[in-house]
Amino acid sequence: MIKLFWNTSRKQDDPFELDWGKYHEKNFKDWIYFFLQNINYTSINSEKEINKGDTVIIVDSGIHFKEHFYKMLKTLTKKIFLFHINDEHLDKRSKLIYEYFDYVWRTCCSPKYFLSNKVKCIPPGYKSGFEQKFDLNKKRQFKWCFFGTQHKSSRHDMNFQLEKIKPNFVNRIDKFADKKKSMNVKEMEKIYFDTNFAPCPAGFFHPESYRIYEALQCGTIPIVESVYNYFDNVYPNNPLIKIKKWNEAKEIIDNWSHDKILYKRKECFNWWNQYLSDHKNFVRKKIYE
Amino acid sequence: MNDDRLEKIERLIKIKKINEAQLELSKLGEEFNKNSEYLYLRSKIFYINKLYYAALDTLLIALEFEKKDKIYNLVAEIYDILGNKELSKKITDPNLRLQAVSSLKDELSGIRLPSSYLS
Repeated sequence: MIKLFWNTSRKQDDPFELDWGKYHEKNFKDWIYFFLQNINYTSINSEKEINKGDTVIIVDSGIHFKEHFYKMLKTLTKKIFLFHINDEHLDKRSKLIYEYFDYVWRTCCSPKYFLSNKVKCIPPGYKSGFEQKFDLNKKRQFKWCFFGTQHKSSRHDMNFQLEKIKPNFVNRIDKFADKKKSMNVKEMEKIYFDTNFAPCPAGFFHPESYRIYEALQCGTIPIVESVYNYFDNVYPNNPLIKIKKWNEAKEIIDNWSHDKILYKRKECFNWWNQYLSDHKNFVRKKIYE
Repeated sequence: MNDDRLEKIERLIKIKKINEAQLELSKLGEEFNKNSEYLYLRSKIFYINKLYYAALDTLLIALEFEKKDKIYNLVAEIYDILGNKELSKKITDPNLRLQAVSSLKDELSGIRLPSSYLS
């Protein structure tokens, strides 16, 4: 029997990891469940529901504090898989914990996983609720949009370079997941559906960010920061627009014709859906292997 | 410069042996994280590799520990390359740089270090 155990906010004594675990459980079930659509599994809420010989799919974030737990599960299960979300710090202890699993999918890649036979990198995904319900051909009102913090120099420069390009939509918040100022998924989705480009500066520690995949879900064209060619290494042949300096994005956002934008939008959207479909099939193949 | 290892890295950068310099930097332990010279050299390598934002963030953190002219000058040079001439000019000016960088840091939520870390 295949069982799915979402463990991000369970068995976690570390308060920092527990907060993140709750955040992931609240916001990223749509993303992970998408990959498991073709798997016949039962969701469980406790390890007590795991029987000897079961195949278990674990979803977890702060795994470094749970080594004993996973060591125990390894002995009990027939096969055990991990979706390791977050870990943008690329914690060195992750690889050791991966030894207890038959196969691992992780977000926030690093070069050591590029050629791994046991670890596959996936995007950090989009918040639950983003749906592909829009007209791909419709002309969009906003040239660009941004939701988030201005934590480092890249985002500051992005704002400096692009603020005069209008119409735009910016919701700048003071801290991540700011309860007072953050917009909800439906409000953000409405803006993305009406925007051509989403500048996606790197995250706090890592080039990845949720906004890249939220934009793709909404048919908005992501412009990403190409740090060490990260995106070409992890997602070969992707059509994302890559820049090294934000002034390179000015000409694109301000001057591309409607036809050129539409072509790129379709290219990005089709690539994204193909990626999702291919990877969903890959997950099924691995789990039933 | 306060360490033989850092002097060696600086020499490697000067003779453009960037990969070797990078390797030597990676060997240094956590105790260097608060060393402005170490942070400056890391920034220099980011800058040479055209990773301008990583260089800027590292330089701005280095300025939390020591306010050296060469750090300000590299910050100004990078802003000039990015096209923010006004900010570059302010940071180049020794009379304006302190205020200019302070205002910049006020706009960035992820750069200022807690006082407990600085002591």
